[in-house]
Amino acid sequence: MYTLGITQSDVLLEALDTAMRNQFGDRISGLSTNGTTLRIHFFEPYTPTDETAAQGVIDAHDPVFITAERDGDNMTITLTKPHNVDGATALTLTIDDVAAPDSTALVNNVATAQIESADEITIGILEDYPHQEVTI
Amino acid sequence: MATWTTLNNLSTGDLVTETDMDALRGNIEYLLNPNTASDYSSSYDSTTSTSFVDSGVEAEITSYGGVLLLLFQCRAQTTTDTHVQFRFTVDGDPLTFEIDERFPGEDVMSLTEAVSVAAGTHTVKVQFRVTSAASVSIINSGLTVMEG
Repeated sequence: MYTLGITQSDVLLEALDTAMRNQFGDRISGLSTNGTTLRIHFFEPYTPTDETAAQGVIDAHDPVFITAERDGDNMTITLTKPHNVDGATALTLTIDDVAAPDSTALVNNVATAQIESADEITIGILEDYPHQEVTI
Repeated sequence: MATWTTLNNLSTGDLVTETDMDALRGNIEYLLNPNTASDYSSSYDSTTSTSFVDSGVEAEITSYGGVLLLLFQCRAQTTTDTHVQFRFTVDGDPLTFEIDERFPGEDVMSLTEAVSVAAGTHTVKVQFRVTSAASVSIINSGLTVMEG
């Protein structure tokens, strides 16, 4: 195994793994991270061209992290887009796959929304950024 | 720290010297406080690799030659239903026993193994992998290497 280490935090590992496999196919067994260093595991020695390509995949990785806190029927939803590669200014929540009527503004790469629901709901985003839905 | 000394092979009629008794006492003290090495971490390490890769959990021990007891425990989290596997390597060589568990969600996993090593310094690492398109994260991990 030949491991390429690249400094990068705030990744959605499975989404980045998909993108990296699209780039390198069967040449890699997968990715690892300790939160600050991303490791790309090659089956054969990698080249400087591979390093550049890997960095390109990482630079394009633009995940949104969703957290939700419930206090009775009231929920606070926080959307964090730490890299904001495309400079987005707003995100649109989805609740049980239904888009909210209005988008929520991103300020310093963070958007916050308040939702009221007695029922368990699944929170996602409408935009096509890597993210993991949260059920609360 | 107490050290292990190979005792003289005494025969009937030999004089037991102060050096012999010092060595015996040192060996008893060594057995009371075994040589150990450890690595504990509350942070996490994650992988999507379907081949065994280093988890970041490792310890180095200098052995007098004999048996090492390896103990590893962690809390493992997966996002989807997959098999998660762990194994030890000693100086880069994988040991034969692996632990395999299938689950979505979170569970405590542990691995224990004994291995014979030659005198010298040895590096013990914990490796992990998943067996399908998924990821596993390990947190609150602990590795202890103890010379028997």
